[in-house]
Formats: sequence, C-alpha cells, structure tokens
Amino acid sequence: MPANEVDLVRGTLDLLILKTLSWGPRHGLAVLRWIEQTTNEQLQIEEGALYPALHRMEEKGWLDAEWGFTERNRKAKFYRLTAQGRKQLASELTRWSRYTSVVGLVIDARAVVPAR
Amino acid sequence: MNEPTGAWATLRRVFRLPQTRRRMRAELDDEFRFHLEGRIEELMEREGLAREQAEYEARRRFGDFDTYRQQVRNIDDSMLHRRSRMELLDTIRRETNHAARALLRAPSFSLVAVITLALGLGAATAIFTLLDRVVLRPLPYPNADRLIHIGTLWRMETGGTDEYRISRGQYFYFKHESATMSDFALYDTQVSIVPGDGDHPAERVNTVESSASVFSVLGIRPELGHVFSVDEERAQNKTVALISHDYWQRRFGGDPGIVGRRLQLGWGPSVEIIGVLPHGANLPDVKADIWTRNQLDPNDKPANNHTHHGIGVLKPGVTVAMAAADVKHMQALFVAAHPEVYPASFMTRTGMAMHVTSLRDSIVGESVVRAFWLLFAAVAFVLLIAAANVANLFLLRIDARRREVAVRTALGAGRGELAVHYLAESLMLGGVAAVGAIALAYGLLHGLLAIAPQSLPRLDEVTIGWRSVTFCAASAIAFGVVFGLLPLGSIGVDVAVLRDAGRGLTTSRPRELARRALVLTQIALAVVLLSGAALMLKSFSRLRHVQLGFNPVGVQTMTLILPASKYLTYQQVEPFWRDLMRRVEALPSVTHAGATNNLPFGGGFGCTSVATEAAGDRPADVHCMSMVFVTPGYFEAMGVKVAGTLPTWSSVEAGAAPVIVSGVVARRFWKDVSPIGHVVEPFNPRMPQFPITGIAEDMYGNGLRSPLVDAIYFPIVPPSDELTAKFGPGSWASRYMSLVVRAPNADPGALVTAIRQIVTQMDPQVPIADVQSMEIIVAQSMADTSFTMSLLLIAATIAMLLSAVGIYGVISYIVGQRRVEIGIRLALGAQVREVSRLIVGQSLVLATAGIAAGVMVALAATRFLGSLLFEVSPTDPTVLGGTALLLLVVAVAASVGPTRRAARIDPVEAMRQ
Repeated sequence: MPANEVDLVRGTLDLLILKTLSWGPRHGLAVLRWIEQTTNEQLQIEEGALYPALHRMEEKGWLDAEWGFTERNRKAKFYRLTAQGRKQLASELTRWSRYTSVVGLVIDARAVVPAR
Repeated sequence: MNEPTGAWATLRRVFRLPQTRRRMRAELDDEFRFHLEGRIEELMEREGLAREQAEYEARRRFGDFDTYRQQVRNIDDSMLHRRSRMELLDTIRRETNHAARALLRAPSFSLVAVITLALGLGAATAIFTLLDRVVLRPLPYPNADRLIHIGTLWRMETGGTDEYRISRGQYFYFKHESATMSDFALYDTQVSIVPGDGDHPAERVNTVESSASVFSVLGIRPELGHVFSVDEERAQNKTVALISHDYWQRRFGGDPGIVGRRLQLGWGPSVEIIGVLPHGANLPDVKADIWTRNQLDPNDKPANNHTHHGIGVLKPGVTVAMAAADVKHMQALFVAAHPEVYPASFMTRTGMAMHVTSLRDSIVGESVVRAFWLLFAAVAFVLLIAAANVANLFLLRIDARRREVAVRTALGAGRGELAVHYLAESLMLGGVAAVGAIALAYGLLHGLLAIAPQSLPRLDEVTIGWRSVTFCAASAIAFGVVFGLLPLGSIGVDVAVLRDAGRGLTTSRPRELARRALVLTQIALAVVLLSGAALMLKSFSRLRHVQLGFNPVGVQTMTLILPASKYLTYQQVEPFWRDLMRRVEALPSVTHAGATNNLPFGGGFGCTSVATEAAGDRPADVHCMSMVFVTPGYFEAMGVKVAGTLPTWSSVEAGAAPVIVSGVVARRFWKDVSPIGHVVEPFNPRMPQFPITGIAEDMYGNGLRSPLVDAIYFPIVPPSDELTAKFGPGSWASRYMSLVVRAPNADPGALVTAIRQIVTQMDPQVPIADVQSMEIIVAQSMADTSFTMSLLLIAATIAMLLSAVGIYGVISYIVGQRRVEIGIRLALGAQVREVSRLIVGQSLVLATAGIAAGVMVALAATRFLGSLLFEVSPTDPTVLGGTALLLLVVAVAASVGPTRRAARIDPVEAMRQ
C-alpha cells in the first residue's frame, strides 16, 4: 500500500456515502468513483464493503433504492437520500466534526509541565 | 465516467420493489455484476489492461465476493421480513376501515345481521358454558380423570334395579386385591349435631366418616394441622376430626390456634380438631363441615351392609372398563369366600352386581349428561337457524352489490382481493356479534342459574371462562368465513351487469335455490326443536297429574334430631314426640301433625328385611322392603288414605303396635285376601310380630320415575329385650324424624315460627332443619324435567320466530322478483284473491317441504330424549301433528305481509319497469 493512501477510519463509510448521495442519486459504483475523485484516489475502500453499508442504510430508511438506466443505457440500482437520511447525515456530520476537533486538541496541544 | 447528478429526473421506473426473496437475490447479483462490469470496462479503457487482467484487478478491489454477498443477503432478508409485516398490518388496517365503512353504509343490514347472529351465538355460548362446566370438565381433583366410583346394583322386587353402595368387607378386599387401582377410599356422609354453647345455637352439620385414604385419593392436603392416620381410623371411638375452611371461619372465627381444640360432636365424647381443610376441599357430592374417621377394622367380619361410597384411583393407563372387569372378578371371589354373608339364595334373588363408573359420571349422572347435550344440540339448532337468516341477508346483499362487484372486476380486482374484502366485512360483523353474544351469554347464565334445579351437580363451578369465550369466538369466525366466501361463487367476468343499466333485481338460479334451501332447513330444524319442546311439555303435564299417593298441598315439613344425651331410650323419646304433636295440633291453623323417618321424595326408602306371615300356600318368607316408622297422625297429616284402623297415641300408649302396609305389599303377599289381622315381623334386627291393621294408598315415595314404594309403616315402639341386650338401651329409638304438619290455611312463615317456639320451649338443644313445604319438595323432584322443558321451549320459540323471519324474507323477495308478472296478471284481470293464493301457495310449498323433512328428523332425534320423557312416546302423533300444524300457520302468517304488498302492486307502474 503506497504511503500516501489513507486507510478508512471505522464507521466513517456511512458518513461518506450519505455525504456523496446528498449531491444526488447514484448507483454504487458511482458513489465509489465520486469518493475516489474527490480524494484523488487516496482513500482505500474495499469496494465490496460498500454494498452491506448501502443495503443496511436502505433497511434503516435513510436511503431509497430504485432500478433505472445509466447514461450508457445499462440497468443499475440507484440510491437516493430520504428525508430521514438527510437528518442522519446532519447528525453524523456534527459528530464527526466534534470528534476531529477533540482529537485535534490533543494533537495540537503543546507540552505543559503538569502542576504539582 | 460519472453519472450526472441530475440523472434522477431522467430515470425511468422499470420495476417496483422486489417482493420475494428470490427476486431480491437475483437483483443483488445484478447489482454486483453491474459494479464489476463497470470497473472492468473502466480499467480496460483508462489503463489499457487486457480483459483478463482487468477482471482480476476488479475482483481484487472488490474484496471477498461471497462474504459481502452473504452479508447483504442477510440484510435484505430482514428488510423483506419487516416490509411484509408492515404491509400485512397496513392491509388489515385498510380492510378494517373499509369494512367498517361498508357496514355503516348499510345500517339496517348490519344491525339485523349482528343482532340475529348475537342471539344465536349468545344462547349457544351460555349452554356451552353449562355443558362444559358441569359435564365436560374434570372434577376439581388432581387425579380427576383416574377417579372411579364403585357401587352395587340390586334387582328390586318391585321391578327395575336400584343402586346401593359397598360394604366395609368389600372395601378391605378390593383395596388389597385390586390389580387396577392404586388407592381406594371409603366414606359415608351423615348429619350430626354440634350442641349449642354460649355463643352459638345448637346446629346441624354435614359430617363425613371416611377412611384415612380419602385425602390421598382426592389429593386434599390440610391447610392447618394434619389428616388422620390408619390407627385413628381403627379407633373404637371418634377421637379426632378435621374441619372445613368454611366451618373454621363460621364457628371458630378463623382461630389460628384451632388445632388441638376440642369439639363436641353429637352425643359421644368430644373430638380433638387435628386440622383444617383448605377452602373448596369437598367430597364430590357433599359440602361437609366436619370430617371424622370411619371405623374400619380389617379384622371385623364382613357383613351384608352396603352403605358406603367407594372411590378408587386407577393405576396409570387403566381404563374404567378394565377396572370394572377387575372389580367384578374380585367380587366373585369375595362372594365365594363368604357364603355366610352372600348365600346363593340371596344372590339369586337380588342379582347383586358391581357397578363401576368414572367418578364424574357417578356425580353428574346420566340424565343430566343427556339433558345438557340435548339442550346444547337445541341451541346449536337455534344458532344454525339464526345463521341461515344471516346467510340469506348476505345472499340478498350480493345481488344488491353485483354492479359494485362488476365494476371492481372490470377495474382489475382479482378474486383474492375481493375475497379479502368480503371476508373483512363478514369477520368484522361476526366479531361485533361475538362481543354482544358474550354479554348476552353472561346475562342468560345468571337467569339459568336462578331457575336451575338445586339437584343439578356442580352448578357452583359454572362461570364464563376462556373456553366459553374461545367457543364463541371460534363459532363467530367460522360463520364469518362462510358468509364472507358466499359471494365468491358469483364473482366472474360478469361485466354484462354493467351494460344492464341497473335493471332492478335479477338473480342467478343457484342463489335462488340456495335461499330456499336455507329456509327449508330452518323450518325443518324448527320442527325438530318444537317437537322436542312439546314432548317435554307433555311429560311435565303428565308428571303433574300423577296420583302421588299423598296430598302435598298445605303440608309443611321439617326435621328434628333429639340429642342422645337426653333422649336415648324409647321411654325418653316417645313422650317428646307425643307432647310435640299434641302442642302442634293445638295450634289453631293445624289440622293434623305426625312424624316419620322417611319423607316421600326424600330419597330414603331403602329396604330392610321383613318377614311376612305365611299365607295360603306360601310359606313365611323374608323380603327386603321399605321399613318406615311413623307416629300417629302421620297418615292424616300427609294425606295418605288408609283402609282399616289408623294408629292413635292412645293405642301406642296402651302398648299396641299396629302396622299399616302399602297396597303393593298387600297385593304381593296376600293376593286377594285382606292382610288385616295378619302379622309382619322385622327380621334384621329381630323384633316380635306386629299386627296389620290397615292398608295404605300406594305412593311414589322415591320419585315419580321410580316404582311405587313397597312400604310397611311401623309404629314407634320399645325395643325387644333381645335388641336392648345386643345393641344397648338406645336401639330402635326414633330420634331422627321429619315432622309433618297439615295446615291448609296457615301462613307458612307464621306456622314455622310457632312450631319453632314450641320446640324451643320444650328443649332449646333440639335443632330444626330442612324446613320445606311438601309442595316444594314435589316441585323440586320435577325440577329437572321443568328446567329442560323451559329451556327447550325457549329455544323452540326463538327457532320458530327466526324461521318466520326467514320465510318472510324469502316470500318478500319472491314478490319483488315477480312484480312484473303479478302486475301483468292483475292487468289481465286476475283477482287479488288469486294473486294472494299464488304467494301464500309459494310459502306453503316451502313450509310443507321443510316440515316433512323436519318430521323425519324429529322421528329419529326425539328418541334421544329417552329417560327425560314421562309416559309420552318420543313419536307421539299428536305432538308431531300439532307441531306441523303450528308451523304451517306460522308460514301462512309470515307470508301475509308480502301477499298484501303483491295485491297492492300497480300494474302500470310494475310494467313500466
């Protein structure tokens, strides 16, 4: 694995999918491509892992799925955020930014001599 | 190769969401294939890989294909499951709403259907509850299904057989020798006196004398203390007793220190209370207050004294029939081993045989079982008749809705959807009816229990439980399904109806036939019910007109027990009765007073050996006959006619011992000769000869369905020296007597109060019990007949009314159908009379066919009334003829309304349609 590629932090795949779908309905491969493009292919996802995540979110009612045709006239399963999915995205985003800022606090902290 | 973000707008919907598992799996494979194919093309185009390499790379990037597929499949499965459940709920909710709206749109249909069905279901549920609780349910004992009752059957000299119980000798023999019973118990029920103390008056209590094993056999464990042992069972004198929970509360205020206290029971030494039985612990047939030991010593010689109840527990897997064979076998050995008790002559004369039944059958009794099944069959008929009416309503509704069905079918509704639709409606109707039925059954049961004869067993166990509710709900659902599926027969591509522009009521031939068949069945069922009710009515009237052999009108009775502590010998007992009669007869309203140890219908006429004097060519012989003790005044008070000389107090005082024999006895032993001047002699125990001075009218002493009693009325006299020597000074004394007072014009309450005062003045320690007028005793003996009769009569009346409604409906319908025809007839000059004849004729044809079918069924079915009938043949022609006639009248009456409507048809208007 090249050094410049980033491993996916556990639990963030859902967030990435929701965020990607917030720009519009996509099929699974398109979701993957979008993530590759926006990250300049630095994020490594085992592609099969995408589908359990998509179906689980469909079951939870965050996504709607429907079969349709791509530009090349191929049959594909398209996913779309539901209203509930949007809410979920918002709350995941909040959680993510809190998480990164807390982690950032530790990482950015200067060495302090503990008071005795 | 991005999909444009606006692609959704251009998407064409191809499929709905997959509904089956297979479909979902296939789509998942499609989805994965699309992914891999997309990747492979991309790799080939952008990176110039060869197909094989591209495939390899795509698969590598995808990861473990099978694992992911399995993961997704699991998720899909749970999604599918949840969706189908939600859809089902949704369907139910939607169909319920729809059904409710549809039923509310036709309020008269719904109301009539619900009420009719609820009536039928309610009556059926009430009687089912009685049947279930009294007949079907096991007795309230842990081993209920393995308990048996053992008795003996004797051939009576007056005809028929009588059931007696078993002896102590048999008890020990069976208990030790039986191969089929694991345990065996014996008991007697008795009545004793607990004398008054400072706080409580003297009272009569129900007592049990039982073997120690009765508690293990019935599975009763004491609430306090312990039960008695086999040693205590053998004791010469009663030393210990257990009391019932109720008696503990009533007499001792629930004293927690009750165990160890002493209780004066009767006139012997007091007994120690060693335990309290839990609430509801009872013998099968009696609520006892005090339980003591039955004195059982295995070393005692067997005796011909068959007075004890025997209850056994079957070993697992043993049937009642196997036990019966076992008991029969043991009895044969027992009889062979004891010729001194059972001589051959005795066995030939009595034909004594063992009678083994399940305990439940012995308690509930064959006639009750029969009556309850019969009543249940009757209400089931009523329910069917009611259901037939509702079915008819549904059939009419189908016709009215043909357009609706056609529209739905044309719009693509499938058979299944329509079925769900109609089922929802009919099930909802059934559900509402079931709720009403439960409420109705509850009310009906209260009424039934109020009028039920006291002699019916297990009535205190009757209450509506989940079994009754299940019965009601299951019936409602069954009918709901049938009604709901009725329309399915007519769903077809019946689009022609639409073109038909609502040309009034047209109907299909099969439905027309179905409707007539339903009414025909109703009439037939009503005939069966009415004949049954009429037969019972006739039986009851026959019963009421039987010459009883005494005159119960204006006769008051009550029982008195003289405590042996003060009234032991004849010299102590006789003055009390004499003084009592003198004082009671002195009351202004009383014409006569006497006493007896055996009231008619009291169930006490057993038999005791009596020797009759040799007469003609017949040698003196000993026979078992009913020995009744009476005081002077008894025959006058009871209204028994006597030919000859009646006993008087002065004759008793003078030491005369006149005996009166019943006509049965006189005819049997003296044939055409008058027995007056001849003698009889009590044989066991031995007493001197008694002269016969009169012949009493025969009486149905054991009830109207039993033969006349072969009674010999003995006076109360002192015991012979031999008796006194053998059994002590208290033998042969009549301490337990029923007072019989004739006071035709007295107020019963005031009379009883006056007698109570007299007794209290004479001796406050003498308790009075069983205060009852003779008329009520007689009425109660007919209560089972009158109860069955009343219920059958109610069922039959409802059945008849419902059938009338059915006939009315069908005839109205026919009139509606033939409007045009009738209009034409009238226009062509037909008389109103002819039209009426046409319509009534339709009704009569229907009724005659139904009645014919009904009479056939009734001829076969009324046989089941069997022993419930009294001097009426199950195929009594006047009953069947009368029933048929009544239903014909009902059929004509039911067609009066429609006939009038037919006569008023305006020809012009009718033909314009």
